Amino acid sequence: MTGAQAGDRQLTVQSADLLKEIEAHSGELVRRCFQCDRCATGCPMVSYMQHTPNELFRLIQLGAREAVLSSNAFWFCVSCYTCSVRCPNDIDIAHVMDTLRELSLREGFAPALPQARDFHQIFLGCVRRGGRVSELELMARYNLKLKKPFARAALGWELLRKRRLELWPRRGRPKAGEGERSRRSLVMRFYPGCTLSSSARPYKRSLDWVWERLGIEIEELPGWTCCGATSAHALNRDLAYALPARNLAIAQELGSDLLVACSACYSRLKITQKALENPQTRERISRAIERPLDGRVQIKNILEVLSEHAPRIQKEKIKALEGLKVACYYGCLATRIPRVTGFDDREHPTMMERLVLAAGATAVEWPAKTSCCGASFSVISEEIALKMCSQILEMARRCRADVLVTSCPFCQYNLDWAQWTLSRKDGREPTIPVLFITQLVGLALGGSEKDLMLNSHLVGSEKITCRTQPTVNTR
Amino acid sequence: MSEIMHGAVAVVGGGIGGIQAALDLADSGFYVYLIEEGPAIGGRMAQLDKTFPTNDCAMCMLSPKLVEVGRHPNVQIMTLASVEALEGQPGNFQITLRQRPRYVDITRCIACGRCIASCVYQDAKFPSEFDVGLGKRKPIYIPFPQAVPLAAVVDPQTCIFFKSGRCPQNCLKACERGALDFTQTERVLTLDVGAVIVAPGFEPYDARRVGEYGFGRYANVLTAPQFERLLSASGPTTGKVLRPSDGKAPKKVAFIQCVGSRDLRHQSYCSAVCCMYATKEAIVAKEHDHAIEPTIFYIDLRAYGKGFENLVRRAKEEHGVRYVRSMISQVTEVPETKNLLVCYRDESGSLREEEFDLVVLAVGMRPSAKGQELARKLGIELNEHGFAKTSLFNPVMSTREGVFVTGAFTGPKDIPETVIQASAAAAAVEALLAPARGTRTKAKQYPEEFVSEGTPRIGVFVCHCGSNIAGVVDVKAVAEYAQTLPGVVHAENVLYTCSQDNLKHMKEVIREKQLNRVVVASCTPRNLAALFQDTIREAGLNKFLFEMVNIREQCSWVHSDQPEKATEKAKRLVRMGVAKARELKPLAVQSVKVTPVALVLGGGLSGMVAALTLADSGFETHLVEKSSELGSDLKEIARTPEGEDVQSLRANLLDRVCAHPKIRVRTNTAVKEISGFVGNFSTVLHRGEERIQHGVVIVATEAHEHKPNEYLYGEDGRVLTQRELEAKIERSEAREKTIVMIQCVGRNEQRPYCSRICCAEALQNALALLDQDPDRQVYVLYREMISYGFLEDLYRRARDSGVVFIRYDEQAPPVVRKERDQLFVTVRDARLRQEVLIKPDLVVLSTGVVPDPYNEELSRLLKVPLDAYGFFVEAHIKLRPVDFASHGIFLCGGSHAPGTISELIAKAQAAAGRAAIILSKEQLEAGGIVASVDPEKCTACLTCVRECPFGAVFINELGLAEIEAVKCQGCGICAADCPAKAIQLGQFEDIQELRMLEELFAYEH
Repeated sequence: MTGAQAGDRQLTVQSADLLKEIEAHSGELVRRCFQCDRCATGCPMVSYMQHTPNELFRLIQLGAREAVLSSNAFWFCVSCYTCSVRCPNDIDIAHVMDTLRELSLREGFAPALPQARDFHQIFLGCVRRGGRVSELELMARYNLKLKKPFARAALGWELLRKRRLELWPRRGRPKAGEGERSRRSLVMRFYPGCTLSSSARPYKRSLDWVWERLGIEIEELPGWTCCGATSAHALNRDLAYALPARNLAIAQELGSDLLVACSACYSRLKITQKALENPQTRERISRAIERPLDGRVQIKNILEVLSEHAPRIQKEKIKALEGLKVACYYGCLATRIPRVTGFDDREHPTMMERLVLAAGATAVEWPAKTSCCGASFSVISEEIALKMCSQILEMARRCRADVLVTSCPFCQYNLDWAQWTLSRKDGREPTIPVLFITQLVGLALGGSEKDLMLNSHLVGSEKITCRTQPTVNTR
Repeated sequence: MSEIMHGAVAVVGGGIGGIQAALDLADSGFYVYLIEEGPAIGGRMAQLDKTFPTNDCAMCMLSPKLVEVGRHPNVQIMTLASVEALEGQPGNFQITLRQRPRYVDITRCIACGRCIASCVYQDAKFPSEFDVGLGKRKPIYIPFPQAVPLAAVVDPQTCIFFKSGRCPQNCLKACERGALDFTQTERVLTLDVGAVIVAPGFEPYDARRVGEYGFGRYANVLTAPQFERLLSASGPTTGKVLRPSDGKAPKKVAFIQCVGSRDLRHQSYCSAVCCMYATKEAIVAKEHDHAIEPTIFYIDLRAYGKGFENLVRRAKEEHGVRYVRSMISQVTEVPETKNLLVCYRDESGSLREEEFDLVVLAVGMRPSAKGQELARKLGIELNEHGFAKTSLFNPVMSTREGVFVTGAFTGPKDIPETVIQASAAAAAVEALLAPARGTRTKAKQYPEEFVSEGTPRIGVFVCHCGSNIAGVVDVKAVAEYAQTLPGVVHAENVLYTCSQDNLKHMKEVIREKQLNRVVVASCTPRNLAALFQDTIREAGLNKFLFEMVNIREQCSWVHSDQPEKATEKAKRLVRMGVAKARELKPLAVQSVKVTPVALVLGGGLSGMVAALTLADSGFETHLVEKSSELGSDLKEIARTPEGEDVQSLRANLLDRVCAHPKIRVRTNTAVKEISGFVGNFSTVLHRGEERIQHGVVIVATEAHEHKPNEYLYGEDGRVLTQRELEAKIERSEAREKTIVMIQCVGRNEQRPYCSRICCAEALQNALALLDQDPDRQVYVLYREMISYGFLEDLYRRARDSGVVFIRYDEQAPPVVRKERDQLFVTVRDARLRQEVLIKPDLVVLSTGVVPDPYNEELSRLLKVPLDAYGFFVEAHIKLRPVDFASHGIFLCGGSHAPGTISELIAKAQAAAGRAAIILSKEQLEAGGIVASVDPEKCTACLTCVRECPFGAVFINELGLAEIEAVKCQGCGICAADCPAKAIQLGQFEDIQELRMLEELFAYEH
């Protein structure tokens, strides 16, 4: 919103060095931008940015190194990839933002949002130590860094009470015996990601229950480690490839494909897979993780796999969710993986709707199904994330949804947390329960509250559970 | 080339391009099969409400063409037909067609609509193709009111009879003409043709694929073709702009440009027409409902054609259309109101969210699926975008010899470009099949006219039109009443006047009762007047002794609830018609011999191409050039933006022109005087006072690069024009490292038009500079990047190669200065709103093009008009782009409008093709409905001389006005304006009109 602040100082054009440097690091053609403004007009964070992405691109083309690398824009980038999806010139703009952040830090520019840098560094520290991230540890260290040891204490207690924080996290090494089982030739192995054992435990529970109910055998990828999430690609390009690549390499050794539940993990794995198509990148990363990479592992999103079973769910459901109006919320990362869409339609995905219909509920048509929830900004800058979540929740309410369902742990947490926080702040009654899609499917298939951990959300889901009754065609 | 040569041509595709090509060919001695996939011809143009840049009614322009081609004795229209295969070779092709059944006999159907009314589907329920899904139709329907052929059609996909076999078939019973025939089956037929012209058109881009705008999910998001139907009086809302969700009138309407175009996720090219059609739709919407506030969101405003700049200026200044240079990332529906939220960047650079009542998506053009299939069956190649592959120097030639391609099938383009290509393709076919001209056409023989002066003996035929008229109007009473009118010796009522048996009967009655005037009271003269005139001519009557009264549209249809009054009105109209008939005079049509010789003025690219096209078609051609050599306009151009070698084109043209036995070249020669008229011009040349007799004139002068007087041009050797830079690059003399190009130099109030070609020239030169030395820095400072059509790929290539494009506002042009021998360019980057300083080694100016100054003299000599900027004005900007209003004079070249080499070649071929229509005739018919001066009354006030748009009036040796019948088009302007009432227009004489009025008002009850 910039430019205005950029002032009227005359800018003397410089050589193309900056442009070439950024293009070499990101692999993206920044020069191709023709200033259409789509990145700016679609960005949920643009109002916080000094420069819109295309303004930054123009400054890069003119060689204005100082103006570019000292901008706050890339620190406010939430990595929702809206810009990358909408760019008519096929530039992965969000990825260029990562490059700018990395270069800016490398050249010693002060970060515009120091807590963002701190958060990402602490996150990566956790990964370095344990292979996986414990949310409890992450938050404790982050609080210490900010010198606010008791920040979010009430939230922490609430989450612990709801069994959504893991006190003794597992590490990213195979347990005894796990290795042997893993040798069995399974076509697909499950990559749960770090959150599924803590804040998204209901996801894992309900998923396991649904698999069992459908008689699908599923086995975790042995020795899996964190995908790096936003933090890795926010600070370090190669780390962002190496972390998912390690998991891909394990799957490759086992000759199996990967089933991924978390949208962020899915996105990171897919993006890495795509990046590894470049032989130089593949060789570099392969050397870093000391494992061969052939790029043959298939990565499947839970929605893809689950929706294949929609006809069975429809047939075997024993509880009617009739009249339950469900808003399917995909968030940004499930569909928005530039150039790597695994989805039917990235602007209007319908896989989740198919499952909702199979479960006997009604899917509402609403316009916010791929809006961004604010992701890690719920930690870095609560106000921003609250605003973003409120908009989504408000839209769901106006479209008369009874419940939101999602397949992304972060989306579920943020939307749940936002309602809880707002209710504590200004007494607003939390209105819309936010369920994992597997919980909704589990409900239809006759799962109990306990089976599906329905009572562990911050916003109670009584509204739904009390409405479900056995269907007539129970056998 | 085959030894057998057929004088027939298959034109595939019945849109405006196909129709134009068919008419041009049929008028110049070839038989045409016009093959159309759908049930009616007309194509996309028929669906348009208005056309840019003049905002003329599209149907009003197209409909006469539809009728003309529908009635043409040498055009056979084949609807519901598709091409299956093409075998043989140029001159002797066998084209195999598959024609689907219509289930309606078009020779019997009179489009009365009874079958539709009686269909078991009480309500129209299926999306209408013509209304782009906004309106509904039944399984049996008439495609649109002006359709040709005007007949019902059954859609077997939706018809209950075909779907279930169980249908009472009410339609069959309702038809009084027995036109319905459900036993029709598909037929396959093979035709012998000498050549094929392919014009299948385009498809609008599927807006559903651009999911972020919510088309198909949000009720109030429409595509531009749908919005066009909302604006159209024949559309689903009868021209009221109402939004689909609630039928309310929208106030704020947003147009989003480039939907599916200029987008690597969809189509990389620019669709070339959307900026202008959005501008037009915004203006027309505002004209329909002044409360509407249109906003157009765009990237570059591509107003690059003739008159476009002016239309955009009017949209902004007179109509208050808001243009916002910002693309929209997504559209969000407001759940409660179904309004639409749009986020954009305003002029100050701030981002804003705004609510709109309606969003219109300016969808681009894509090659049609049917076109792709057709290409495969015809064995012609497509380019990387799926459009027909052509070469730049042969813009209408496909990759298969003898098969020509035109219109949007060769790339996105507007109607005039399509019409130009259609005429160019027709010209190319004529050149190919010249020896077979006239071998397949039919000419009708008529009996000699009997002298019909004397007492009027009028016959009146009152039509029932089945029950269309008779169901409301008491036709018998009308006929009986007619019998009582003075001069009427025969009156009768007939079931269908237009049926073959009645036409025969009419001829018999004329002979038996010695009728010398005929009045038919039936439907609109638009469709059938020519048929009846032809009939009385066959009976030996002069065809102007005919009058038609419309008692269907004007009586039975509009007053269906008041049969008595409708009958009264019908009587009164018949009485008027009879009154006029009493005063009718036979009008003489003389034949004028045609001199089959062409004069081409201007020996540049266009002149050479036009001359070669005519000469190849067998016509002797004089090519006259004022300067000392031919093709001088091409001398400075090394290659086209696409990389084709222009110098070898020039050499090739020069060789062919000089060697052609039918072309006579004169250089250093100007025209001194031109007299005569179409078919018989006589021109005196300055050199040697030589006189040439010729039948047509083609004006082919070119435009030239403007020489600037700003930006240190002429003062500093480091400031060049683009043409000069091109020459420098070609000589490998460019050594400079940092180069700044400035676009739109010298474009100002006096010269506000876009020169169309400069952006491509800049792109080409920038790429050539980087090709020679990739370490260069090239900056292009521009206002709007005009890289329309496939040139968009060139724009992207330039960016990919590292050219930096900086946009400046018209109000803040760049500044070039020199300090201590260093050049400095400062420009305010319009996106950053920040001043940028560049220190270039070379500054290159894109200065645009100006017309040839010789045009002024030619304009005077030929009495043809120039516009405010010195370009020639064509007869009609949309449908007659290479004709002058004066018959027999044609135009092409840059002096008509700036264009690329490829566009100029097509235009020159088109002008030659149009001219060949005249030259191919041994004689022209002149006279008929023309004006004439009564020398007794003329005061030689010169009003008529000034007013005549065709230059038909001259002052004769007696000092009085006289009208050249051959030049007169019968428009009547002179007759209306003559202060002495000395001029009368045949068939519309004062006395005839007055008698009608007298009868209208003197009617006694």
